[in-house]
Amino acid sequence: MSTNLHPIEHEELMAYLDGELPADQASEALSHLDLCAECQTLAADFRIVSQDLMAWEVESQEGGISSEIDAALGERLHKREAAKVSLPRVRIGVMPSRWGWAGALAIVCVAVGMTLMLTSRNRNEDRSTAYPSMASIEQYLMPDRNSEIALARSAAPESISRDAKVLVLGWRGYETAAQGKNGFVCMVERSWMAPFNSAEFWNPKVRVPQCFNPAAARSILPLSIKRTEMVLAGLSKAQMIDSIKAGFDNKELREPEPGAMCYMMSKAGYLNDALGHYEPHLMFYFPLTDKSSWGADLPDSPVTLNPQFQGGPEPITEFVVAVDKWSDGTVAPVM
Amino acid sequence: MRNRKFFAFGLSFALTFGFLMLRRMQAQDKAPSTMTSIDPYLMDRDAEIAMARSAAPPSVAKDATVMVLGRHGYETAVEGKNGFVCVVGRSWDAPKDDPSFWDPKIHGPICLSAPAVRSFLPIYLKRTELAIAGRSNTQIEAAIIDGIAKGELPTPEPGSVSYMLSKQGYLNEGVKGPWRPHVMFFVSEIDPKSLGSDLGNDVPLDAREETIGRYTTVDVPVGNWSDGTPSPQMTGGH
Repeated sequence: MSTNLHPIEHEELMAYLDGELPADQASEALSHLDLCAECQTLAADFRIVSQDLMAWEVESQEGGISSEIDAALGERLHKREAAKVSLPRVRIGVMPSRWGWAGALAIVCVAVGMTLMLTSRNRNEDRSTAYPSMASIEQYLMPDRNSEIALARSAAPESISRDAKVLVLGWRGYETAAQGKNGFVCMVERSWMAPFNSAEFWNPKVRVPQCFNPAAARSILPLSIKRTEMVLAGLSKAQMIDSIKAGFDNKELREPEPGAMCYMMSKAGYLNDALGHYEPHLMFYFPLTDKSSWGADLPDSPVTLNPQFQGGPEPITEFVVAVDKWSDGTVAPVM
Repeated sequence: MRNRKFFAFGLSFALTFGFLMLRRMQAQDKAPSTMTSIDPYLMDRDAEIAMARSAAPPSVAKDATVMVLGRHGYETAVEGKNGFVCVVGRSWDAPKDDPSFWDPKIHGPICLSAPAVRSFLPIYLKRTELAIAGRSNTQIEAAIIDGIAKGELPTPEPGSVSYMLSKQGYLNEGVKGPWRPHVMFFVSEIDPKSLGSDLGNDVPLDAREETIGRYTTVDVPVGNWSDGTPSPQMTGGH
């Protein structure tokens, strides 16, 4: 009987780190991982093992074989050549082959094992370290400004987005591309708004269209702006985390205002490799709280937790409620 | 000439008086002043427990506290352990001028999160207490306003949310049924338009200011009823 009290098994956690879980299980694993210190430690251990395997190589004998061994091998070879001449042919075939076959079998086993291990290692390398560091900034920029404006606006129904302010990402950070008049702000977030421990933190394919309502534009948008500025300034993750913590300590950053929420109803977005454009939904922001207070992530609950922040380090909880239509009015498939 | 002036004055007086009388009668028709009897509002206890629980997904409802309406107010029928409380709301939760303020057909199954239990439920229980005590709709509303002003009644805590996913409800005469399954949360007073509500028919939420309780409710329709069956597409608020 399993004594594991976690909603994900260790094998599932490894599969998640390898990017092998289906989207719904990946989302659940990510949610749990974000909250469970024990699993975070385990995941870190798995990653270390994976990295060690990737770093491991058979050491080359740079100094060559020692002279003693060389001499011994030479003497043995000489004796063997002499034996070839003096011993009957049948004996040559029997005596050495018993040990030879055993040795050969051992070598084959080791070779097969190494091949399997390296194959597995390379698979991990392709998936878990697909985005090990920041790509060039060009890969995160959208070359066509109008396309980014349209993508940003696609986050909300037209009745909201047509009068919203629109930000687009430039070389120095987000800049205003269109002034609004209803207090909403639409933008396309990039991968660095994912949890800091996300395997896709640097995925340059990520495009997350969002429209913040006025309360979120005042209290959540500054987080996107700040993370982006730090990324473009070349700060490490540790530095960014420290800076965000300091920002909340000195009140530069603040908790979500009451009613802070955003629309994410674009069918053209790309949230990550596991979810693609996901499903149309609304997100509601609250000061850090336990997901059980909303009944979120329970099997039949229409509410899920987005682990984007959740104290890591932003003291903010995001609840997600799926809606049935994309921003263009078309019906979304049930997920 | 003089007769015509008297005639015009008399007609004007009659029309004005008649209009005022009509308005008064309409106001009286809208909302009878007090509850005549508790009996029409009472339900079979087990049926009420089941209806209350039907407000939320089973994973939430199975561990929730359930309260049912008795002759002296709501009482706990089932003790829960997850912080949620499920009840079947009655008509006196409506604004005082709502014509269905005393309508016994109204049944609103709802499961409230722990913050909502602390910050919204006390207002509803106070309304119930006053209704059963024979207070009028106007007196009930005045008492709520006064209680909040004095700090005796709460305003919504962050994270105050509720599930209304029951297909058994009868929310009002407008929808004549349960409306759509929805998640409803309570926010301190905020303009519904700042959430996108009322900006267009393409906005997938409905927010309303509850000026008496000094909060805004935000309804987000979801795809399924609590029993897992899909809900029909509908438009408009409830």
